[in-house]
Amino acid sequence: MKKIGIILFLGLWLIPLNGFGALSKHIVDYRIQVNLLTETKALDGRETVSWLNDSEVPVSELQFHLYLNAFKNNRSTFMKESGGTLRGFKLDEDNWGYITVKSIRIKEGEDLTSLMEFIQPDDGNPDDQTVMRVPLPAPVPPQEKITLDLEFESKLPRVFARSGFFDDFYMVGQWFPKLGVNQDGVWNCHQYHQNSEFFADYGIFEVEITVPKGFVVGATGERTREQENGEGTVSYTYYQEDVHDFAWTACPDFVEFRERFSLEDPPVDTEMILLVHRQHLCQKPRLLDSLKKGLEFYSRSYGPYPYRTVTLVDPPIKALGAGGMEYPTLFTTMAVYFMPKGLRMPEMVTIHEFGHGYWYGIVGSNEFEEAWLDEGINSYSEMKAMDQYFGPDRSMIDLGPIKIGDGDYQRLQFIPIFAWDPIVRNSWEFVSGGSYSSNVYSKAAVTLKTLENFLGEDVMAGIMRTYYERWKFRHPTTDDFIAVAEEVSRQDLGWFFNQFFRTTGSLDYAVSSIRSREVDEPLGFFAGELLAPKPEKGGRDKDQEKVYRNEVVVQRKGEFFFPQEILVTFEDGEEIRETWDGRDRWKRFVYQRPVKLKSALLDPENKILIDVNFFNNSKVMKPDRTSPLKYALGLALKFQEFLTCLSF
Amino acid sequence: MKVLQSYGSGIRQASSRGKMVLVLWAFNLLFAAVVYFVGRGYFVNALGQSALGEALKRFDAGLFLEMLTHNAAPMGLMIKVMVVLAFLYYWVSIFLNGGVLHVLLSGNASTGDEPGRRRLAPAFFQGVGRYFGRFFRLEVYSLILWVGFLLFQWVIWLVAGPLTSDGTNEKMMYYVFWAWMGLGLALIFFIHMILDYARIVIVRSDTNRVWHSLWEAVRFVFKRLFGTLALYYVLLFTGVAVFLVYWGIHSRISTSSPATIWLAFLIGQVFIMSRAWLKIAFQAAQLSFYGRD
Repeated sequence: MKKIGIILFLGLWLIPLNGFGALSKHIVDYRIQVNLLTETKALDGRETVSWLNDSEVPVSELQFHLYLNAFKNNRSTFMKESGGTLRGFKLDEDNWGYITVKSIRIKEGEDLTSLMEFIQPDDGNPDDQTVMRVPLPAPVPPQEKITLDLEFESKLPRVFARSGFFDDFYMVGQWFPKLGVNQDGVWNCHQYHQNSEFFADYGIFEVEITVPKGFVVGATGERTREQENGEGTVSYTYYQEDVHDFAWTACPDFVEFRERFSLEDPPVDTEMILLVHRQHLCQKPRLLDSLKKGLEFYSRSYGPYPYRTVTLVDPPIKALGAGGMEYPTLFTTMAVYFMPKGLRMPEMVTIHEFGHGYWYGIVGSNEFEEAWLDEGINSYSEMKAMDQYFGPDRSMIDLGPIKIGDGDYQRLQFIPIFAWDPIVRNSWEFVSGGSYSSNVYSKAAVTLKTLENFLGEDVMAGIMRTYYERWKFRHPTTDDFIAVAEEVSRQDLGWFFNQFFRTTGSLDYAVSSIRSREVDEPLGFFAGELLAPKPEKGGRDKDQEKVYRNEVVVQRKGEFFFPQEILVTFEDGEEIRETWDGRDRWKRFVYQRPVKLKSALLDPENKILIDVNFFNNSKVMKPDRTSPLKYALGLALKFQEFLTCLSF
Repeated sequence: MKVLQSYGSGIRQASSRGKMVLVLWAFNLLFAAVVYFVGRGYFVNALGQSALGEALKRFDAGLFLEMLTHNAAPMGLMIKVMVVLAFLYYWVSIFLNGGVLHVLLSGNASTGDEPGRRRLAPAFFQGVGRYFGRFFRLEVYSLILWVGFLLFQWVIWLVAGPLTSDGTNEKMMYYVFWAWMGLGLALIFFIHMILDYARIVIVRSDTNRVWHSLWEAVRFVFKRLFGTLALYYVLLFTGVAVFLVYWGIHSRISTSSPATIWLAFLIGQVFIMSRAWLKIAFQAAQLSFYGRD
């Protein structure tokens, strides 16, 4: 009885913390009603939002993201940075987007509409209206809540950057006034930038979406209610706890497929909802199969998928600007009518975007400030998943003789342009979109794979699982990831993370030279005695064995260091493995042997994928010229074939 | 019937002109030799003493692309060299066309062993020099046809555009695009055929009126549309069949040792010779068809 009392007491104490059965602490609670106005491509919305001051200090203002204002004019920070183009998709200047907050008032209290003002915490751009500040008449005390009622109107842009419309297709993301994250009494609420995504607090979302009849709708969470309104519209209500955003989509050309996905170990039971555009129904089996692979891989590698639904959205070809984007329990993929099976773009995008359900959705890192924590970790996870299911040498492309693995693809992405920025940097401070993506996605992924090779696959799996388990439904930072890595590996990894994540530079080791020189007979004065050459050719007895001084010099060409292994091979087949801490600029290895060197090879198991040049990692005494012959003759023959077409 | 007779005549003539096949092949090889030496230098430099040279004996797309990434500047230079060579070769091939047609028309060039018959080389190179200026002008005048072709393709795109531009019928977009590409290719072949006949007109009548010859060729092609097209496509499909045989053999050779690399290259040379042979067959068959009219 006493025990039961203690349990009840603890339970009651925990309820306000997490709610019954809640996975996260509910800082926000949004209840939204929204109408899709197809004539004007706009949304008419009413929002009631409760916010819990989870800090230790009173908070006297609220800050909201008004992301759609990024598309309001050509002077917004997003437009200035991007020039109206994102990932190759261009703004349509006839279809701007914006969000207008028509009113905001404390529930059953004061009207705050006149107090709203736009602020620009990142760049001071007075034309940017993507962050709104609302001073409160009285501060919200610690652990107290405030509830506000808002009315807003959102005009959707023609989609080119994640959110918007094309024809009858609507991808509605970042569409409502959304609170920033208050950390220790300070708002973390950045403007919408070209190279940044999002950051928000966990909570509850209940959204009633009204659309014209005939539209197929998908959204974050579970559909809890469906109601025909009589005037040609239908309202769908969606509910989801433990998420930090809400997105939805509507299109009459979607074909909806529902299928359950279950795993016994770990226990997973979720409903897969596929909204496949009518034009690429032929790609449905690939999309479904990829989603299943994603669910299986991430559940087994990190933790069971915790939500009851996952929705895959397949945008039409003219709205691919909406494709390849993640939202909680919903993501958009990229498929087109014709895509050879060996081009695994739909598979890669589906697995990647589903994976963001974990690295962004469940582990809610700050995408503005440390984008690698979601993009880099997720690219690393995607690489592992793709390699597991399709083979590491062909997981991205498998077209006849052309085979490229996801790892190769990631290396090729970062090698040319990574050195401008470190991986950890505010997203809007990267020199370019290319530098942002090559660092945050590819270099981070390849660096984590290098760490895995260094620590061992099991240790790395332990790190990832612990990091996920410890930080799910919370907001970790790079330091938190490093702390977990050091704890699980029981190693000081500061040298690794400080170099590769926090500074610019490159890792490039090379075999600088290999040389075998015959050791001469002693000639000249030794202890007062002149030693003259012997009459035989070469100054040596015929049957005396030749001795060679074999020398290998390895070099650190880049700024970064990494422990190295060197495999030295002699002509008689003898192999010697050397190690080097890699800190000096160079190191020489000398061997006195009766045979010459054959080759020297750095990183023989190819573990250090972050090395920017694999071609200088080895030297052979007598290079085989078969490859130059093969490619030069092949090139000449192709050129001949081309010439015959020219003169046809 | 005329088509088949002309086709047979073209194949026979091309088969009996081994030396001319060799001349065309030799020019082709000469240009490719430059590419080979430039390419070999590039790959030797790029691979250096690296052990990856050994790994690249079997094609690895990832490693290969990485090699290109690290050696992008010399690759750019190599591409420029190839563009210049291709441009030069285009004019050389026009130059050689005169020789081919002249020999085919004169019909009596031989090894010179038979009394009263001229050797091939003087006849060939006489034709080369004699017609180059006119063929050059023909190429310039043919720009009108090419501009017309581009305009036509553009108009077709404008007409087909509304079927696809709203993006609501992806399947149709896909097929319309490929139909448009197919039509473009057919038109390119068609213009090539007209130019072939224009050269034949120039050589047969030994006229300097190039513009008139082009117009004459257009008239002839449209007058004998079915015949000219049928002959052209029969020859084209002969080439496709030869290519398929070549591809079937060539793709089965694993080029990982010098011996097999050279073997693949030699088989490739046989194919290039077959292309030269086909080129002569085209000229001879069309000449025969024009002569039968």
